[in-house]
Amino acid sequence: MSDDIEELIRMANQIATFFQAYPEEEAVNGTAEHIRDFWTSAMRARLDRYVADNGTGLHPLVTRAMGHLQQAA
Amino acid sequence: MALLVEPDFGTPKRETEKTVTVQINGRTITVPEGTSVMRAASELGQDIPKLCATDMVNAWGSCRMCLVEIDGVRGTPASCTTPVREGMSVRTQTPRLEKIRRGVMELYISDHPLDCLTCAANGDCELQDTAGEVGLRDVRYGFQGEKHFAEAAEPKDESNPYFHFDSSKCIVCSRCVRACEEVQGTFALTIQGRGFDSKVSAGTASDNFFGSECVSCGACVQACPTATLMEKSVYDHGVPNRSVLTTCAYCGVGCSFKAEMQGDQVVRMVPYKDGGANEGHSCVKGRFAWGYATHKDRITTPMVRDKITDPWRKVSWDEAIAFAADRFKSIQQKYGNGSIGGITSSRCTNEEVFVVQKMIRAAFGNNNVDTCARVCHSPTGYGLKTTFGTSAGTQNFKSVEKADVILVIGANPTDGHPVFASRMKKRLRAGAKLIVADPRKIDLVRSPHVSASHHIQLRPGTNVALMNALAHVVVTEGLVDEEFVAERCEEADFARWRAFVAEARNAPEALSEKIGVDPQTIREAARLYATGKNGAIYYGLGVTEHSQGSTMVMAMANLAMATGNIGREGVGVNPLRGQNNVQGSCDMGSFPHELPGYRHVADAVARGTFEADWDVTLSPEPGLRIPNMFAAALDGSFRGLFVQGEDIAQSDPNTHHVTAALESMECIVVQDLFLNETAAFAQVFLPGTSFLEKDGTFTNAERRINRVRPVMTEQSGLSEWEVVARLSRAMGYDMHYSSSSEIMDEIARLTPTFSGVSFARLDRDGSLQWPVNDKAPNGTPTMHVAGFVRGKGRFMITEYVPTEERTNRSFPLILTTGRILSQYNVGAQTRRTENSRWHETDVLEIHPFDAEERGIADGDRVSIQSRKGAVSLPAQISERMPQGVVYTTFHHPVSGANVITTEFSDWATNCPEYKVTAVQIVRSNQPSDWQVAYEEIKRTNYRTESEPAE
Repeated sequence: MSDDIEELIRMANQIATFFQAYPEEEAVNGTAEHIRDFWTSAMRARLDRYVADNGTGLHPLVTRAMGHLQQAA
Repeated sequence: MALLVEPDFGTPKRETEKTVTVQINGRTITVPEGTSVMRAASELGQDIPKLCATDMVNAWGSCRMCLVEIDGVRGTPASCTTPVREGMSVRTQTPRLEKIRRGVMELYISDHPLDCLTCAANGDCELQDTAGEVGLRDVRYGFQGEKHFAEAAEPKDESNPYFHFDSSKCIVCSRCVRACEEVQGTFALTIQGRGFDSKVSAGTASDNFFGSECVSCGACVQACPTATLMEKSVYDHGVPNRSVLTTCAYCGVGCSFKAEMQGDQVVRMVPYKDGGANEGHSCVKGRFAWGYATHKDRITTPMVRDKITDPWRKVSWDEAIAFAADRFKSIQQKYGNGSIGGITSSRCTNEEVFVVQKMIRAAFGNNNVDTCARVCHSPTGYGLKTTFGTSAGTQNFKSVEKADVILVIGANPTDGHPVFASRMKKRLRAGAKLIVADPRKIDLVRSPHVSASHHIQLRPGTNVALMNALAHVVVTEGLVDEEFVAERCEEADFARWRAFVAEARNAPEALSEKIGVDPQTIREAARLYATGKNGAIYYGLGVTEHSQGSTMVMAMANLAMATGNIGREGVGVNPLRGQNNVQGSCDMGSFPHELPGYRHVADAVARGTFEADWDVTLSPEPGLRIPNMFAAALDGSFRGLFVQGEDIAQSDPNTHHVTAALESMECIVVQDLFLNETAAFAQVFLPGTSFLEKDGTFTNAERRINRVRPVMTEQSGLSEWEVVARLSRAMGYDMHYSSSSEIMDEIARLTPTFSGVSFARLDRDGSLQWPVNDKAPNGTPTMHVAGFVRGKGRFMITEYVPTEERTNRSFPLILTTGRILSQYNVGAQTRRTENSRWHETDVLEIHPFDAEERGIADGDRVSIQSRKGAVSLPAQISERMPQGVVYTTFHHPVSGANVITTEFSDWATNCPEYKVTAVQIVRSNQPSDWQVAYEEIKRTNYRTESEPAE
């Protein structure tokens, strides 16, 4: 795994860890909105590809949030 | 303007609604109850002679110069200590009073050196002026007093680098002693001896000023009516003859100063009494440490080079700008539009920051703009916007005068924000209670006449756990302000939060082991904050620079809302901003996701406003944050960077990572005063302007927009905004301004919270606190008074999540970083002043037990090793540290404090976790590998081509 995806995974998991205190749908939305509002499209695309590959090590909320963002796109 | 001499009313202003009407010399005046006769007379324009009185301190009544006659009162009372009474009739000038005053003045002069013509205070001496006022014509006691003439006098104390103390000139009025006590709150000075032997002393008889407790704030010098305490710069140059009102460029307090000048020469900086932030007070940095502006290290000619190991080549502005633009355009052609970006600086004006972010968005064509607030207060922006609706502190500084309980968390105001700390200490001496939450025993915990009710000496990284425990007590002990919450906050969010913090796992007893503080202390602190009437929270980077920085800001906002401590004077959640224009640089759209005024780039309406005004299409996509820029540089997609007045190579965490990223880029443009650490990796250097050359505005931590006025012309010949406009034009975007005032007009036009701001308005009103708009035409000292900016306050759930940075057997200690009074941030400015005499090197503070366990003695050189790197520093054994925690500052680049810090960062904003790094300390007798390499870079990357021989 390259350094850049490791860093994105860590950041995404941190975001999900904050929102996991909320009911699941809110947590998914919160995570998705945060990534949408603060990440560049290249960072989102990189994480998207990682989710599509296998998504190992990602918080489940991140996986769902990325799916959410893809649907909205 | 001519020299601005502010009126001295003799005694402080009283603030009360009740008024009293009196007659003075037959004229009627109405003043607040408690006003002195002296002040009332002065307000009438009928000054009474005085020596020991000045309106910066309370009346003392010792000099007997200000006597008056009052109908129905026997004798001649001192007007400074006599408060007005309703119907009082006062005479300030009668033959009897004249005679008494002249007699008193004779006594003073009989023991004063009469070297007026060669005295440094000649033309600026109250003793001299008063002698003239009272008509002194003769001294019956002769001129043989002990203090007469130099041969009899004690030698001057010239130990302080900025002022001297000449006791032979002293009239023992105690103004300096009282200023040190009442204004600064340090209590460093005293009157030693009795009668004719009385003299001012900085502590014990063997102390001089430099070695004393004196913090060199300058209040005593300002208060001194003679040349006893006098700036050395006045001694060297003479008294100034013109003033320029401007704003300090150091911390986020944003003090107003009179730059007192002779021609283009700054003679001294004197704090301005009408300055809203400082009200006439200053610290050692703002008052004295401005010499860097004309330091020999200043680079005033643009320079370029092809490679970072080439010597710098001095070029014209046109060549430098063309060089930078060509490189940036070439990078974009090769790697794409998003391959370049820029960083704005909190040391620059709002106008300078605004044009840089505009250049990046409009000329670079992307949103890759970030600011140094990323590494300090970005969590403040996120946390306060989420809970309250706006990215700013809630109060003005004056609000602290109404606080009853002050909760200081992760801030060290006496070092970091000294002028505000003095205001806070004044309130504490008047009876407000203090709670300090900090791993270190900072000065506020116990200093003269200030003692914290509770020092919560928590473990670094457990802030959120502490706030949850405090909130648990508030919720479970019935201390919630139910009426406030019901009326002002989102009901569902509050209910959810209440249930969360009430859980047993958030009780102090459950969290005390993690926090490292006994639960009873936490309970008592929570009760004190919640029930002590006005509870005010002040915080600093000890809150934000954590992996849960944003969570912590929200947790504090939760606590303030739950206890109703928002929306009036004396309360609030108040960030103490690190640099002078952190607030302003954030306001000006320096974040990659936000346009000026904190509007998201994806907001089509807001973006459309800018597009119409700037005649350009803007990207709706968030750009790269600083850490993302470094990552993208290392993966090859980010190749060019414009850095305005920031030293990322020194200030950002994990130096190896940062410098590797900088080395990998093709073009770095640094706009700065000095060849800083980042410049070692740059290809273009564009000389910047010091605050003494800038024309613009700074916005301080209380949202106060203050004018910064030039006192001298730009040493480089161009303003920074003009340089940016030229670069922008060279990049293909037509940016033109005729003045910085015009830039502010554009800011006001495009930013709703600034819509009522203009230079003309600021020149008229002094300063304004945003929002300044139709709803608040005179600004907004206190936010969220009738309702929150977002409508209703939003409680957020703040689960405590321990940092990933963990101690273990290899790295058993936690390193935390901070700053010291005499130095500022990366030290680029203060290291080039005499302030370095107080802090010539960074040191590692370590608890005696931790030191002993490692065989470390005070002053030993030690190696500090983390998972990221190692540096070595001298050790200082300190009882201020708790066991298991060590501390250092990052003011000297060779210290390499950020070689050790990690890439861990706040979950919401990527603000680095500077405050928690697991380290090991061992004795060492040599610099680290990084420090050796650093010295080599100094030799290779800073060379300048020699000038051709004429």
